[in-house]
Amino acid sequence: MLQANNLTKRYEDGKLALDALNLEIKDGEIFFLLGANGAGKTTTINLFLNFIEPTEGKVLINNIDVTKEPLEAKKHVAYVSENVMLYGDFTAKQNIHFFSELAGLGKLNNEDYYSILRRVGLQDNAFNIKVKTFSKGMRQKVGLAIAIIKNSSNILLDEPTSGLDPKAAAELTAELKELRAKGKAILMCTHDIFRAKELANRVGIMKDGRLIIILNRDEFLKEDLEKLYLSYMNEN
Amino acid sequence: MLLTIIKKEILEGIRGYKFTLIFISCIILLGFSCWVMYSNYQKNVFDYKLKALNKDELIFRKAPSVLSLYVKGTQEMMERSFIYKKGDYEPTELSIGFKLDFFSQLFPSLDLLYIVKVILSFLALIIGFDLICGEKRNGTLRLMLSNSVSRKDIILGKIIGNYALLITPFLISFLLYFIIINLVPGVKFSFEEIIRVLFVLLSSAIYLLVFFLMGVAISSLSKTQRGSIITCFIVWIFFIFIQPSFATIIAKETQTMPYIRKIEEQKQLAQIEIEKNNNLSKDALWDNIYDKKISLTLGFRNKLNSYINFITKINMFFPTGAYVICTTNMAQYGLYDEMKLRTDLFQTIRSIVKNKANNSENNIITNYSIEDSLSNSVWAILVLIFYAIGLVLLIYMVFIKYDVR
Repeated sequence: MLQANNLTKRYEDGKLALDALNLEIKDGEIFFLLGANGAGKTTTINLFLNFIEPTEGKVLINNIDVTKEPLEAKKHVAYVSENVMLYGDFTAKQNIHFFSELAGLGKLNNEDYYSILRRVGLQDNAFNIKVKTFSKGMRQKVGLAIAIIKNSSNILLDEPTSGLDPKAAAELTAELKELRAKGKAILMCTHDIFRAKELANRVGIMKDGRLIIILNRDEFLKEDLEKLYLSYMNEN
Repeated sequence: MLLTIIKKEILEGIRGYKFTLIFISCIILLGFSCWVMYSNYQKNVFDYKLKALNKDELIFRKAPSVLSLYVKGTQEMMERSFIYKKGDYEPTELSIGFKLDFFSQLFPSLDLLYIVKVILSFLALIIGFDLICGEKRNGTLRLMLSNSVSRKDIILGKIIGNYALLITPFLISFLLYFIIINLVPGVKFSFEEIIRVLFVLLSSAIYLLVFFLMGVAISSLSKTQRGSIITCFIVWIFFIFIQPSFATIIAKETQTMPYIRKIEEQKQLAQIEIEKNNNLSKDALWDNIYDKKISLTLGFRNKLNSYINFITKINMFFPTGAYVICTTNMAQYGLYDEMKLRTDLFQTIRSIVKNKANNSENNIITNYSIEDSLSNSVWAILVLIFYAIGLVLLIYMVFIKYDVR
């Protein structure tokens, strides 16, 4: 479970990046955080990962305070960034091997790595190729494999579909559905309204650091999500 | 977790261009240095033996040491030959044919000290310059830190792993050429000399660590790789070429530099003055002139020694100076060794003159014991260790607060 209680972030230059965010994402739920660039989506992820400290409020992962116990909290969360960057001189297998060791997983064999890489849709002949030759979509798959192998109960995704071809995006969608079915709490920050309609249990719309509305699936399916989003964006 | 990061850094580094560059540089430079320094050593040994054949006069010359294969230091000053003829007041320097190698005077000697001090220090900075800012730019730092791994483990893992990549080619090349040089006829290291070589190696390793850590510190303070590499280059120029002349400039401005020419003039004037006194016997006249000259020489030596001590102390505060002092002392070609050699030579001649002896062993000059060399080097080693610890703490403090966004 991911929770943000009155979460506020003001940077040193005085800019209010996040204003009193209250959010709770339950296990088995996919929450889409929509908003324009600079709305505060990535700041929210940075706070969940303890990359920055909140000015006010709390971030909790499985009820563990991220600010107080960051290492313990991060055991329960996996992260996929917008543009997954890996160690270019390592192969896909070596990258997943390193990050699984970093996640504290026990001894895994090659077959464990290969099965995860197959699961995210990477071709067998790419397993032992240096990732610096990979396309963005292939790197994104390896990034997702790294998140999956960690087997944490929460997953944070920052614009994961940006720049992916339709096939790769569809594979990612299928994988996220599977992860939700396994009871993972998933927070996905994106501009991708189409994907939100397809996947989200709930959608939050952010503007200027504030979460201005949360819509349940019934609500955003009944209304046109795109129109709703644009109307909130155009409001002063 | 720390081991995982060290392993990753080593595996990643081995595949990179930097490791190849360092390996090739070490193999070529240390090999070339070995060849050049061995050739110099052979010439010096031949020269030393040649002079020792002349029995008519007293010739003083320090025997060439195998340690000169690694560190040249004050070798040219120390291995000069001095001749003392009966009746002279002081010994004079012999001109040596082999020193007429004008070409080599234009370039610094390519000894281990020079290679480590100038070339490998730059490569050490290159290894460190993008360790933090490069990983941030690549985005892998965020992915790494999204796991339950402490920043302390990450930074220590990076430092240990990459330092291993820097030092391993150096140690392998060194060991390889050490074995080869020991197979060459005429080169034999005593147990004490091996210990001295190990100390030279240890201080080189600490010196390279300091420069590597400077690179990492710059990397953690820089926002971009370009900014980091430019800063590294400026730092290298400062510590290698600018800072060492500071000590000499400060000494020249604050201390009275004794000029040998002035002392020689004073000696000549004193001799003329004493010779004007015709009442003295021939022996008494000689003794008077000798005593006056010795007193002027002693005064000059004391001033020169305090001048050298002053420069040494200033240089000691900087990594390059500390490294040079430490290695040259351990190789018995340091400034203190040169000072001791001159004192030994001076006292030997004095004792010969006073005892009216007319023969002496050629090689009367004693070297500092390993304990003395160590005590002369201990502050320099401590300064290098202090720099290394200080830089690790700085890197740690910066990285703990490092903005990974």
